Amino acid sequence: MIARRFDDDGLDDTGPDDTGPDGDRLDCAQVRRLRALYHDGEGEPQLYDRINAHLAACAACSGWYESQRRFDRRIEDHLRPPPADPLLWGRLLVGAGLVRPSGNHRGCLALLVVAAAGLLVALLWSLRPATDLAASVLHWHTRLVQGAEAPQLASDSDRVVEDYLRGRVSFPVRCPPRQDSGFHVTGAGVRRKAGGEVAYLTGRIGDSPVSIFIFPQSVRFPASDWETLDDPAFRYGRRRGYDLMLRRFDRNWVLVVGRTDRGRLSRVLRAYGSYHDQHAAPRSNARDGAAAEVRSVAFRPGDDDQTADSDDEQPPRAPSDVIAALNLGGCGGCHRIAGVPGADGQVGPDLSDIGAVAGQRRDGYSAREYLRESITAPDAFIAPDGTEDEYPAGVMLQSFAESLSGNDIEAIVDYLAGLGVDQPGDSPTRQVKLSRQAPPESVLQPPAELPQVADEVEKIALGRYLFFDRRLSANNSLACATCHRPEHAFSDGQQLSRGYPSTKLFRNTPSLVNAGYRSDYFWDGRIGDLPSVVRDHITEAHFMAMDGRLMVQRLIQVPAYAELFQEIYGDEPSFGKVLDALAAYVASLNSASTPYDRFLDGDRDALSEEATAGLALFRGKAGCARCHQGPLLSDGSFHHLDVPAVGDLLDDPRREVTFRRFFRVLGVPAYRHLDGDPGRYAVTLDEDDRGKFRTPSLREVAHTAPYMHNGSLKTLRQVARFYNAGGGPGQSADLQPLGLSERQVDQLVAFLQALGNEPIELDPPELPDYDVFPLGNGNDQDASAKDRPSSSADGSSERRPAAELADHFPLLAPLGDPPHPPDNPISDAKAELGKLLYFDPRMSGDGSTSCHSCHATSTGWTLRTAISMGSPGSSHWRNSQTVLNVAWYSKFNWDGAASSIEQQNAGAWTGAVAGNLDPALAEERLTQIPQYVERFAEVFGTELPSWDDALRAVATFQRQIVSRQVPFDDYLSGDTTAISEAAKRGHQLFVGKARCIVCHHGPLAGDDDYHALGVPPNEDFLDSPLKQITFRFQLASKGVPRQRYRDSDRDEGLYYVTRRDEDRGKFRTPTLRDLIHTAPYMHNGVFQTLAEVVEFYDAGGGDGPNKSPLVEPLGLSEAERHDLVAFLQSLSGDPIRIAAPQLPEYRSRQEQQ
Amino acid sequence: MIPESSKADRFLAHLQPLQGALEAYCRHQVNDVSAVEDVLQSCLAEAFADFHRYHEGTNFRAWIFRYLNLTILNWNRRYERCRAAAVDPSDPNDPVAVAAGALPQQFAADELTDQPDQVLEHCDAPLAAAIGRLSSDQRAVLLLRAVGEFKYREIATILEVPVGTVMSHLSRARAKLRRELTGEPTTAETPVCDDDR
Repeated sequence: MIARRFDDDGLDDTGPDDTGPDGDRLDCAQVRRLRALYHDGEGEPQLYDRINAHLAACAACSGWYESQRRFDRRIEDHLRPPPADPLLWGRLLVGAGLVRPSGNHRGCLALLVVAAAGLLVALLWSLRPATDLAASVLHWHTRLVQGAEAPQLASDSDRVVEDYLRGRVSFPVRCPPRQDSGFHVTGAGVRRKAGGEVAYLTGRIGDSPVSIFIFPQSVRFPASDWETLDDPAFRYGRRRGYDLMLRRFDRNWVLVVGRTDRGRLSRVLRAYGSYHDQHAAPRSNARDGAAAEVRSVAFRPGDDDQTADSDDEQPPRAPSDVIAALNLGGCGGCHRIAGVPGADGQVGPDLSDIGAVAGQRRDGYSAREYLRESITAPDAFIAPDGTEDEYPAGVMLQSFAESLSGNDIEAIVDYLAGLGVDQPGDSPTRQVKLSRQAPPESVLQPPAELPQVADEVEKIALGRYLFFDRRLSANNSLACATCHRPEHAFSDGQQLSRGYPSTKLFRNTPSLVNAGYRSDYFWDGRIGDLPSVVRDHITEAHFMAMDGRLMVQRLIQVPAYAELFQEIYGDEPSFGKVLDALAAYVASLNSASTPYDRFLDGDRDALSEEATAGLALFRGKAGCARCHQGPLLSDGSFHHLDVPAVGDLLDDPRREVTFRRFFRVLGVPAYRHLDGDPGRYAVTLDEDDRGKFRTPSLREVAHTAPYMHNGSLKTLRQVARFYNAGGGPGQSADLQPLGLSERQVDQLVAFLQALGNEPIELDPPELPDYDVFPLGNGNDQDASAKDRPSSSADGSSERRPAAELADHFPLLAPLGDPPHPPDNPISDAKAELGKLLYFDPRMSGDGSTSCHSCHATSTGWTLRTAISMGSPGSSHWRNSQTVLNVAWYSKFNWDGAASSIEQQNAGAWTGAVAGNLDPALAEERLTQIPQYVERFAEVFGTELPSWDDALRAVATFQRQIVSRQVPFDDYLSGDTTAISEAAKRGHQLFVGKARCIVCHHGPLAGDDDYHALGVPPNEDFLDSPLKQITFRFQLASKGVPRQRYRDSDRDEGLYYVTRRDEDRGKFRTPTLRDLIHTAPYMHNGVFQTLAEVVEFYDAGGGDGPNKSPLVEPLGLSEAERHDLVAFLQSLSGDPIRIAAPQLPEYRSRQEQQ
Repeated sequence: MIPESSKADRFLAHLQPLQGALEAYCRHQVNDVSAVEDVLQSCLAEAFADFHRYHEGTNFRAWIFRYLNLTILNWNRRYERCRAAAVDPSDPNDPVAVAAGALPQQFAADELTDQPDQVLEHCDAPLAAAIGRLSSDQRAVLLLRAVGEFKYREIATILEVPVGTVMSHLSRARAKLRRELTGEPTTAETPVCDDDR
């Protein structure tokens, strides 16, 4: 092999990139160090120029280079493969089942000859265009433009394109961002050309088609063919009416081709390689390449293209990474966003044209800046064109900066900025296919000292995807890998773990390396097996706060996951299998053989002198090996070292909340009086164990800083000094001052560093997205109850003539004072406390969502969306009901699952798709807020706030929300002008011909009973993965068997509570008071207006099981329907609004308990 | 059973130019000389079974070498186990132990530098022995570079190690060969040339 020659064609000499960080001149030592790169043709092009310059000037070095080259060539010649042995290969190919055996070997030989001839032709063909590269490039460009050739990947996302190409060519390829370059990418691919590979990007600038070709540095572009421009980095050429612009960048030649002006082409070249922040991270590590390889094996573009449907009216579908990001945030629950299925919320502004106006909204803000701020700090600026009433401050969640990653936010901003500006190109969505190959990091062989773990390649591959998937946490904000980061040996590099949003942990994140070999997990060893550890992480309120049933439904909604589970476990995803796969992945994270292992194997050079001396100290004078022994360098025991305390551990009230709840749930007596971490004591409750923590393994210890259970020692040197000083003052581990010199400390540190390899960097795997699975498949056998004769109470009530209805059913009447149950009497102080709780987002798991979020005062104490939005990362599954007049209800929820408002609130606060709040966590939070403590003491006479009292307080507040006097109340009390003539006619219809009063009677205009109306399904469920997930989760968590909920295509309402077939499809009759403020209507919000509702009843309702005989065609004229709507409107008064109160603060940091 | 012809044809077309390199790599890396053919065959069978995962237009050479490398690792591990059970390590007849004991003829460094070709022509056998004595990791990198003419990045992908490890293995392997053949440490003193002063 010959060192690559770089002809000096005048292109390589100048340019702004030529000056490296080390300056232009290399000295002899540097040149000799760099020889391998030079010889092997690696490294930056500028490096060659600089080395060549040095060699030209330095005879000693050029002689040395030459002798080295001859030596290396000799080795390479020696190793150069001889021609393949045809007889051997004949046998092999037959043996591997690739060719048919023939009577003699001639057949094989003939085949080989034919193949060789074909190859020669192909080789010659591929060499042909090398004579004029530019002409061949132009040819390819025109074929792409004319559509004669489709790019291998169609995508309009620069990220997607980069990811695609990264795995396919051996040199770095980038895609200029549209924002900076004006280049709108539409596709990409790779061609073999000039004996090498050429990557291309196709797209357009404005309307003009433009392609970018990226060549490796070894390709030659003769300088004579090109015109030099003012900027020496660029070359310009014109062929057959096309403009070509060339620039050497990095290790590539980048060539832009199009029929447009030079300025625009050079702008593309200038932007080429400019990166978003998250791309700036070096991707030099080979694991990255390996991961890309796996991806490239796994990902088949065009296989499962789900192009946006044939419907031309539909906007083109957004790129799948954008859809994924928007789904993570649950954005579509509140906003309408073009191109995103299911994103049709009406709580917030319609964003379908936001890109066109975003740039002008706020002075001094670009469109992207404005959009970014609107996501991360929604209340910083309220758009003036949405009136204060429609989109008030405080409704949009404040937590997206925390719950969405920077990448997600940028992807969303990118997409929104393009909406309404130009028509986003058609981009097929990608369906990621998951690979069953073991990930690179698991192929590491454990060092010889450690036994092999079970070979579960496929489970490991699956576990790896799950490890990086943030959908395993309730609000999509955390994956395992968020805190167990590969580059920190699967710890997080923080002093203390971060925990679920709005909780704060109080211990250091331990490394996962070699976790498969342990039997005591966490710093206090409280769990002994890996699957249970995973379960703890997924479900605990301070880790991922996830409801396992919801997680399972999320995974089932991802076809690639479902398929992989099926292949591996022969069944659909379940909680236990998730734990199993994650445990398998974590157990596969072995530390590979380290310098220390090689030293033990007899390679005396593996450890430096320094480290060897450190090893002697480790085993001898320093006595480390007393506890750090065996293959893992840990005795698996617990010791009290009296590590320096983190002074302000409990200073932060949010951390104290997590701390107290943690020990409370573990059952530690007097947990409220702990002032430091009791460690192992919390598990054994043995006083001797107080302050003891597990001895960590020292493998890869260099990457797991900071150290100790509380991360109080920042570096290995600090740790060594800590031990050198004999540990902490109160330690009981029998540590003595060691009397090591500083030099010996250094040696010890050198040894500790030799216990690991270089940190690994992993690209997170490409994760598959949700798909849509519309509800049911019509196979629901049990649901065939629709064919059965109705036997409900509705049927038994005799049908009265319309004229008698008004006499038989009581009229609407003004509401009196709200009733209060005897066990929760009203008081102003209690209602005031309840009001605070109602508005307090801290009464949700991640601190993002209050009662008010979904029952907003500005929108009739409910939401304007058909389906309520649910907690971040999830959707709800039913229409949000108004809080107005709940005091008079005897049943709550659409299916009557709750029988008191207190009970309903408990469900809303704790429900996985609602508040997702842990009661113990809630109590500890309230305890850290002095004003709440005072108020609870005043109202309930207790020392500390309790969950049940919080429920009582907020229920008391809700009972005060009453629609006191509506126009129709005035009319009933004698004011004949209170309602219009149309409404009066509508009243007569209501109590007569339209028969509404049969169910809507009494002061609330309801009957507190359940009826099946056959309300049509809400089409939101057709294309919203989140809604479908929640639907199946709700059914699963209500105990509907798996097969049934998979087949079920509708919400069966009361059936889930009673389990009686005759209750299928029945929902509670809602109150009609203040109706106009609570649109949309029905349990699934399928009707937007009252007119639609009246039309529905006029037509005799819908179709479905147990359809109530009370609902029948009414034969109303259009005028009558209009009158009826007018009457319904008269049941609504002015909206009842309450200003959001000033919420009490956590205790300040200085205030200690 | 012969698989559908188009898939096999495509696979063969890819494989054809690489046969020599695959064979050579295998001969150098498989500990059990008699197993070379078995290793190649099982590698081909596995790779062909997974050939649908390969994407036309991507790097077939790196793809197939990954399979080969993994197959070799598995065979060698199996071989090691058999050998450990069957052979007394101190057995003077153990071929591996014998090879390790045979020191190559050593050359003076200046002779090599002045007359490299002449000297090197005589050192095929010592060179082969020296290559045989490299650690398996180092040899793999050296072979992939020399036999497969792979880039560092591709080697890293095939062996599933960081690029840095590839570079350090490669330089250590070359240094070790040089040392063994010349009997000299290769850390050449850095000379100072005129314009650096």
